[in-house]
Amino acid sequence: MIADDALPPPFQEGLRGLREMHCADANVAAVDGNFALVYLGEGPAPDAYDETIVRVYARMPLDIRNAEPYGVVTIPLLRRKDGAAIGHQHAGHPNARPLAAPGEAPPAFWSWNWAGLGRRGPSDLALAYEWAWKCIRDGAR
Amino acid sequence: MSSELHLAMTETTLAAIERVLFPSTAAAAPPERGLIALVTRSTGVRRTTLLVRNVIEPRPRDVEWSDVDGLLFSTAYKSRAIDAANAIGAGVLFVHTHPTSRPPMPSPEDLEADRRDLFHLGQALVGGGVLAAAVVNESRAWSAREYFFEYPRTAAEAASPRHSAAAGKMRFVSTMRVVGPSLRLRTLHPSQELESLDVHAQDSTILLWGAEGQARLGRLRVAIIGLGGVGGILAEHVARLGVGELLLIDFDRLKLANKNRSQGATPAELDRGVLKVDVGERLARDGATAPGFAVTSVRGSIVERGTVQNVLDCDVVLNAADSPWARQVLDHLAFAHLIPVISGGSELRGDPETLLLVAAKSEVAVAAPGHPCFECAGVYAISDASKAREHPSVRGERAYAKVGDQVPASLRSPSMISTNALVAGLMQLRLQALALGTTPAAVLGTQRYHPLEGNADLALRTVCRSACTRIETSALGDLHDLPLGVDRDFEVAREEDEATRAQNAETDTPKSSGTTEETWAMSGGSAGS
Repeated sequence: MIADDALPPPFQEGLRGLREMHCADANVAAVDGNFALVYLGEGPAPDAYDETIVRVYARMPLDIRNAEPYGVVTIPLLRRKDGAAIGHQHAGHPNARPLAAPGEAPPAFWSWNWAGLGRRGPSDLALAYEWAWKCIRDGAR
Repeated sequence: MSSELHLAMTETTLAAIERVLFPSTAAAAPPERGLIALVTRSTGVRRTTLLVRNVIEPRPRDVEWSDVDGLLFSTAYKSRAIDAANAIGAGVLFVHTHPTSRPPMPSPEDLEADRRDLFHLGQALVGGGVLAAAVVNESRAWSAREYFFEYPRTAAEAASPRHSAAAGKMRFVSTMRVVGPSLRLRTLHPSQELESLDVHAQDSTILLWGAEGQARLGRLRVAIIGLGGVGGILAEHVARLGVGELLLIDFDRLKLANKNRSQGATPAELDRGVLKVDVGERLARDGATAPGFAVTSVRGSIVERGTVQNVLDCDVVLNAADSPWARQVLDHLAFAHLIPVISGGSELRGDPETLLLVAAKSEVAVAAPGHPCFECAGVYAISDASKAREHPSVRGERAYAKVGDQVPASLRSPSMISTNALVAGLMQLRLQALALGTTPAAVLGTQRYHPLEGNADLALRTVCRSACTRIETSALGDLHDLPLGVDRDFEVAREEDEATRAQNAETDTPKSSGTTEETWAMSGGSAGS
């Protein structure tokens, strides 16, 4: 976990908003180059999946005012009960690798482009919560 | 502390200052007029520039002349200035006129009053902001200086002369830069006057724009970002044009695949995989016509903090890096640090079956106050600048030369020396338009050449979109966070170098050499095409 004070001030501000609005224990689980993997909490996976519980992370740019988010990471990889492939979910993707831990289920990277979020400010972090769950719901459709 | 001190402002700010200092309707004009402006700092490696952000408009009785005390700023005026400065972390600049056309040097009384007033104002500034003063004469010539005080922290220090206003140190501004549709450099201090011209080597261009025009080029310090197909040509040509100093930034090495467009690179350099900046430096040195010409190479990425600081020493930037992130960083830098950026590039797509170019354009644009920002001018898109922050191995769908919806299979965009030379030529013409005023009608807007149609146009967008906030960052200097980060392409280049080094160590046959190799820790710049 990355300490808040090691993050750029606008990112810290966004994290505070995210905690207040959606997820009190939100934090930056890892930094990978120019992106932070933000823990959004754990929750029930939609019924369409075999898995019942999923941990969700949003991949947000550290320079949140000047770059767009890209991707969601879940632990574990989700499988649909009907056996259909989930086009935008990828196993073993390098963007999810910083969250891989020995003895744990491997993470999955969801290539979610966040089109339409794009406000480019600290409040994007709070918006990320809804968008990340939407990404997972879309995979179940 | 960096060794040089410059002053910069936009044409709009200069006009606002002159409106207050030289009003058109001055019935009973006092001998001197004055104002307070907000000022920020732009800190380069060897130059600090004081950026005048805006005028604190004086109200009636804010600035008064007394035959006994001279020019006085009211307490209310100084308080408003302090409040405005503290709101953004800026400092203050006192400006006053001298009713003469003699060089505008401060009188002993000016210096005493500056020290006294600025010392007290400085104690009220929260962020350790700049404290500066300037004199403007009737001919609108300037002199300016910055003050430094050691403020007392204890009662004993308060009693010590070392911590008094009178002990304040001062240094003079050598050059003033005024940025707008054009770029003007004014030498404020005799020590910065240009020594001479080379009337033989510069004969042709002196015939074009005279000794004064040539001297203006000689005073310019130009950064070239990206030493690929376009930047390599620029390094040599701009040096031949007579620019006084060049800064070259790139992290990439020459490869055999670059031979078709690396003008001036020797077979040995291609074989050894030397740094592109080293080839550019050699070409610039060999071609330079300005007496005392200097060139500095930095292996680094413009999107990284250590490298971008070098650019803050420059007066204008020529960007030949095709990374949208590099363009984004330079877009911010142009406004926040008042350094105009001329950016050029080509997008090409051909059909190997028919040999036709199916889509192609070459374009050149300028970002700076007085010009539209690159984002509004369509020079880059935020989505592309975001993708450029990814590691190249996962960038996937990203391609520099995306034309329409077609994305080439390779991440490298096609390139050819013919359009590179064209773009480099257009960029030099734009530099001349900015610095010399050679072609005032072609100084604003995006110049675009369409190889398919064989024609060129000058795009209509000469101002930013109404919702754009870039101009609000104008002259914020170090107070504005540039959109920097970690250049993953540079990271890969360093890993490749390490691998090569390890391989060479095993076989004991060193391959690479390059004088800039050792400076790479400074980081920065995107590879040109």
